[in-house]
Amino acid sequence: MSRAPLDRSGRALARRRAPGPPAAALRAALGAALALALLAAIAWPRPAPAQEAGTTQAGALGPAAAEVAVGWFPLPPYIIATEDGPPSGFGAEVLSQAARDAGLRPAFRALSGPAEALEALRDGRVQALAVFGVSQERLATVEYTRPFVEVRSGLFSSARMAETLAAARAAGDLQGARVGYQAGGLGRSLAEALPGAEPRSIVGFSNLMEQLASGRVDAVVLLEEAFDRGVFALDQQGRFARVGPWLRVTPMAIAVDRRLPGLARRFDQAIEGMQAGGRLAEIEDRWFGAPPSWWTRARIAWVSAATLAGALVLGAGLLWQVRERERAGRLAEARRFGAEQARLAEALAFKNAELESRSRDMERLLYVVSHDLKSPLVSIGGFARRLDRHLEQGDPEKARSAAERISRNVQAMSELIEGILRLGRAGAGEARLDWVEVDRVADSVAEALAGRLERARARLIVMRPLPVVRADEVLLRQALQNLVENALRYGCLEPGMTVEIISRSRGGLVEIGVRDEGPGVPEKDRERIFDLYRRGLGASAASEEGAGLGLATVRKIAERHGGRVGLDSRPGRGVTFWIGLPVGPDATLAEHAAGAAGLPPGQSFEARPFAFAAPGGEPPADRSAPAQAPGGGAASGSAGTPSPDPQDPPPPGGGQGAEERSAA
Amino acid sequence: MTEETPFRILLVEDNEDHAELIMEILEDASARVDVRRCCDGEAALAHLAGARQDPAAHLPDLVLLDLDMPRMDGFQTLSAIKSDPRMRRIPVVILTTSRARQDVARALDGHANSYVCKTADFSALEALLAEVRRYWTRANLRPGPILGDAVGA
Repeated sequence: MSRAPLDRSGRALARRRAPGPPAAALRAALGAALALALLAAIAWPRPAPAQEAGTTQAGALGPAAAEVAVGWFPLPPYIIATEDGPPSGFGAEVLSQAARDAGLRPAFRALSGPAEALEALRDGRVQALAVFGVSQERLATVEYTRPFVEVRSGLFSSARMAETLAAARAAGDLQGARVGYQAGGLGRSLAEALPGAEPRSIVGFSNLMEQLASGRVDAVVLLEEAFDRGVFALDQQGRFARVGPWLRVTPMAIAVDRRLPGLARRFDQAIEGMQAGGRLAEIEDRWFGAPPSWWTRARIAWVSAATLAGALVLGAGLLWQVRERERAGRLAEARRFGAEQARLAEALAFKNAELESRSRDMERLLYVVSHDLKSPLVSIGGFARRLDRHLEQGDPEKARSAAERISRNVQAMSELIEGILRLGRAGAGEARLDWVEVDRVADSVAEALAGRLERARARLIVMRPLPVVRADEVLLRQALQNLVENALRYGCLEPGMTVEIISRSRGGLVEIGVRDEGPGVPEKDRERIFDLYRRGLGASAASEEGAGLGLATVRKIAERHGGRVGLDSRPGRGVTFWIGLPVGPDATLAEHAAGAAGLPPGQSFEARPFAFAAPGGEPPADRSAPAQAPGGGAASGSAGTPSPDPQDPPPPGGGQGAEERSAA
Repeated sequence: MTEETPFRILLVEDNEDHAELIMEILEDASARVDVRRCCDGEAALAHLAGARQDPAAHLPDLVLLDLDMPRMDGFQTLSAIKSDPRMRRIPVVILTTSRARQDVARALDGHANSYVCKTADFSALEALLAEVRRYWTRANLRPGPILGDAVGA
């Protein structure tokens, strides 16, 4: 087989219908004159690979109706085909057309991606393949397959590319550039290989262009199409080059199993025929639109002739010079204007950074909750439909089960919404600091969670006395409640397990802790466990939603008090979550507060024996008790000794007390 | 694979309710579908490893993968499947409630073959899954072994 020269006239016919403005043509004339010699060298096809010559066997493929398997993988945006027929795409269309012309019946096979496409070609599952772009995978095919058609391949291997590459490097264009690429596409490897650049994965072509237009990325990697600004392309050595707005690239190779020379020949002829008839250009135009009209080979050829005549060159040159001067003037003006703008921009940037930080928090929250809220909705929608069906079929047993699952999901949703509201409250409004007895806070938490304790068959032990701290009582109660809920959810996987509320003084903070006997927190999760995140905890997490909100709320509350959160955990031995609050500004009260924990700083609370465990019982109806006046008096009253509980009998033996609440 | 063998789907989904609904939809739609469910990525990989070693068992023809799962999430699972030369050709369709751009981008960059969002509207979910099943079934059933004799000619 010998490779025919690419037929330019076919393309010329296709393109002539879109003539460009005369100015553009004139301008192109100068460039064309300069590039003419270059083009002659690059745009003409290279000789065919030698191994194909003379090896064709016309009959190798049997009758004309033979099928050919054509590999294809869905390029982003991964549109799912809605009707029968070949998958849509430029490559698929060219291939199927060529196969039909060759008297073959194309059958498409979905492949999982470029890597599998090559594998499929190697092991003979497909006999022909359209490869877009120039990726590592694509480069790897060159050795094995014969890219016998490369649409506009000349542009890709051109000396011009080397030139623009050198220029881009010299200008340092690539350093620190945010380079977008289309998620899932071949552009990823290109963007990541770009020296000094910052690759960004962007979903969808329109988003890619939108981000480029809005300046959120400095450049984009485009393999199939090149647009009018900031476009990068790759040369054949896998290097990057910045290409000008004048260049459109549709790098594409059709690779054919070379063990089937008859097939290769048929494809050759079919593609040649398509080129000759202008059909290839038509398909290309349909997919990628007509290129800038002055950049067609036909037009360049035409203008070049005029250029050689000379007169037009002079005219165009003069015109070009005038336009350049005008352009330079406009540029200078733009620069002066820019300097004034820069000062204003700086002030704005500061404000923006502040707003951005807040908006990032909000985005994160939305990211987490939108998923967690949707999940029960999917179940509710599904089971509602099912309920309907079971009622129609007169199956009350199944209908009841569906209804039960709906209400369970409603419950999950309402808990999640409550969690979101709590988080919102934790970050909003003024924190009203006051002296708060944590003992009383623990009581109210126990009361609020009595039902859940019972369901989990868990015991809550409050190690009294807990300190008196300077805090916003509502927020502190919320934090403690979240910690106990968290312990019930992840730490009480079996009935009869214990959750303790404890305290200690450490690093200038009074810390209140909630300890459970669960599986603990794996080392890898400790860093991010207080972040807003999506689950990721142990086995029990599978049945729960929105676990990421509770601890994030605790951290927010600690931060609002100028405190911090932390945890101690050994795998399999439970975990203690701590919320640390700063000791108040008043030294006496601070001492009292620390003293209430009954510990010298740094000593672990766990070392103390349980002094007392009250028998379990129903939570008292009213735990609010006569509130002690906030301030120093109340604090001194509770320091060092346990405050007598108005409802429960005082602990025998005095000293430190531990109250146990159990729900049997 | 031929027309007679069932189309094997591996559903990796931690949410019991969702798994039940999805399996029901898939099985209602066609008798020729054989759905197996794993409740997280670790279980799915263990299942795939077992299927690979046992000649009687078969690798699935399609994996439906949730993203948000305990122990091993969908992204890790996807990368494990797509980096194994014997498994990477199995089409993986992400089936999740998340519409977040960063999730879509991460999934596609991890060579997911499709990204589908679960809908609260059950009929829409049914239609969507039918589409996924039909598309991947059809595309993968055809053309079968072709030109095998001509290879090496």
